Amino acid sequence: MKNQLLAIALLIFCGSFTTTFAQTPGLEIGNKASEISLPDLNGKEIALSSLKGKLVLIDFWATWCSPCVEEQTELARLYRKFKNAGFSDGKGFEIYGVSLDAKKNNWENFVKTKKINWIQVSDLKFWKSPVAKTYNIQELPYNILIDGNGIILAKNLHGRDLEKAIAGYLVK
Amino acid sequence: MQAIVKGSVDIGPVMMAENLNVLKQQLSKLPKNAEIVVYCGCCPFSACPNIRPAMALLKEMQFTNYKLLNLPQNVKVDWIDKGYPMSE
Repeated sequence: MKNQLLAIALLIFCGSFTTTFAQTPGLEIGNKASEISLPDLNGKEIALSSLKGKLVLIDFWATWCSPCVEEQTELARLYRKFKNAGFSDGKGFEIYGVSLDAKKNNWENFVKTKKINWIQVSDLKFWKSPVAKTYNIQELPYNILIDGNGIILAKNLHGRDLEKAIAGYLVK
Repeated sequence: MQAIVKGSVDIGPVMMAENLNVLKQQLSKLPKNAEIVVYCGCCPFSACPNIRPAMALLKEMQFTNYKLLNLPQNVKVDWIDKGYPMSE
């Protein structure tokens, strides 16, 4: 709530520069999410920007993080529920899972065993991943919800709060 | 996992028996008074599932000079982000 108020205050303050402000890459709500382009399990690079037009949850996680592992079941449910839904700013919901694992085996086994069917990418660099630095990740799990234009809508929502936030962007 | 702190050895999450065995083997090569510093690679102290098994093993093997590195939040925030030396 505090962040939203701040964003609104800044938007008003920026006046005619609103568009410029919204396109600024950054970590705050209203900023453009920085590009991520990392390989999936088959080594194919997938860019976050390729998901333009969809509501996207960037999920930072790792198999060594137990709360992250627990949350994957909930994410699977949200993915089933929303993946084909229409949103005010695009069609469809996607999860862009960024694993901070270091060992491909752990990551691959988990994804296959749990039948995770959304996008999964990793540079297998653990906490040393440049993405962890770019997004200033301080703990896992951590996530960011972005709109069809890559603008940050919400940060680090989980459980019911996350579901409510996604549902809030459904076409009425 | 991979080692973060320069000079450290990656043992892996010792909450898993196989990794605890790796630690046991490493420790068996060392004298009981060797200076050993343990750190957790994943989580805040309060939530780390690996520290306790490691410390318990050190005690059980009767090491006398072991310490826990103070990384209250995690190795990212309290080591990497502070620019401390990292392994290659």
